[in-house]
Amino acid sequence: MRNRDEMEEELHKLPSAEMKPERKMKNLQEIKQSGRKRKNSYTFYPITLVVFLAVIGMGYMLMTPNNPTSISERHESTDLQKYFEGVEPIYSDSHISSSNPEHYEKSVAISYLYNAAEFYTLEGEKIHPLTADQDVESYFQYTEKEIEPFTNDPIMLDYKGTIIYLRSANQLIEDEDLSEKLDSLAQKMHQLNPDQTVQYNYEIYKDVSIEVGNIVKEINQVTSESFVYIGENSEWTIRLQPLSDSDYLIYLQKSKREGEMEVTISSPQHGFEDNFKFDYSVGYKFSSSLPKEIANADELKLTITEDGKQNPIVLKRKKLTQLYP
Amino acid sequence: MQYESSLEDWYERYSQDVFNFLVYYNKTEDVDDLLQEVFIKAWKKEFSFRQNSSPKTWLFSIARRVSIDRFRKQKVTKWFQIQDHMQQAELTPEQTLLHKEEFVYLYEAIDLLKRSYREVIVCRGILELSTKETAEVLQCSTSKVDTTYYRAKAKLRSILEDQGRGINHAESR
Repeated sequence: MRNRDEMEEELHKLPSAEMKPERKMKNLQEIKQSGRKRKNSYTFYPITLVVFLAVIGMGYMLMTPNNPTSISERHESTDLQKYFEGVEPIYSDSHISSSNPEHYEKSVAISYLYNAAEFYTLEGEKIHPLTADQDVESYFQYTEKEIEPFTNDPIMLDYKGTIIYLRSANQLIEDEDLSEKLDSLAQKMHQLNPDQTVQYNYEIYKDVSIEVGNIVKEINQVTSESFVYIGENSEWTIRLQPLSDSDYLIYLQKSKREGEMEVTISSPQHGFEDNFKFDYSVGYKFSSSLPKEIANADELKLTITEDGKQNPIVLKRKKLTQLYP
Repeated sequence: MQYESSLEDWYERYSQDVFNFLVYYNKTEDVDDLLQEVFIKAWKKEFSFRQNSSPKTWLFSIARRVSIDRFRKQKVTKWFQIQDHMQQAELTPEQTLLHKEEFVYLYEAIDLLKRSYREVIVCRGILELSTKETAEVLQCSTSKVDTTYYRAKAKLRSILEDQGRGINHAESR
């Protein structure tokens, strides 16, 4: 349980409003009185007025779009879906930060789960449940005999990353059931061993991959659609993901790995400029004040400035799910 | 009568909570008519109450609805006008909640928030509903509740600091 902040503590100190017993009784009497009156009046309600209102109601329903306003009005969501309902998934292909803004923790958790969901076939093909043509189960249809020619290599290549991403996601998740499930999946992956047979490792890898694949597909049904701008040139790789309001997430990587770097990213055309400092030549940073027109553009022309040297770069807009293999 | 016995049962269990919600949501202790309206509407809608949701949050969602309807009919009033009330007859103990000097600064700051922020502050901060309960009351997603609550607290802090009443200052009073 995370510690409550001081502002929250102040709010919790505000006293409760209480009704004295006499006032409580009086209100109940009034309610009962109204209830009886309404009950009686319904008995004599003119049928023509009821029909009239029903016709109006039907017309209204036909004319207005079917926009359910609450979970209960749509198909029954699972607990997992309720937990991630409406969350903006964040794209990442590595660990983001140890100090993410609290209100984006679910978004970051999703990015880790999406990364954990990636798996390899025994042929060494990288598959992601969100972009695959088939269900995850379809990729694990080998019989014991068919597995024999293969090696543990693809499984061994992938399983440690899966464990790390599952554990990283788990740190950000407060739902106990989901947390338990992720922990158990990570524990199961720990059983993989290069000294074991392919058949042994394959069964474990298959179970976990299918389960994680189903989790991310379930989550993907209820998360909001997200876009990421991606650009790359000989010196830089940059990703910019607009988030809610004017927040955004930047990922920057310099091709030539050096130490600390301090850069300015700007778009004079849109009146946008922001500064970033990274300890290494790669990093993520959450920031805000992204102009609205930037968040909706098809293409972004930015300039990365480091030590006075300007480097223009063009970023293309892509759907988040398209970024997975 | 059957409907009265179930209505009384609900009233006994939840009226105090609903009253508390209405006072803070409407920024006034004069909420008897709203309280009555909530339970009357709840009784009338009882057949549509989903058994797997919480009666309390369902009642709060009705309370919110009737409050919004009232806002639209009336002018918005400030949390309270100290001077006006000082000139009126002596306040009863029940009427002193929103007049407690030590909390005036916080009430005034909350009053300056936009409605979506105020709603979450009332539900999560003052009434201490969970994120899930708040989402049910406000008919939005839990992630929306988390994000809005975070922003609302930040805004509240900022307002208090502008007024020279940061949290540390408040704690030292």
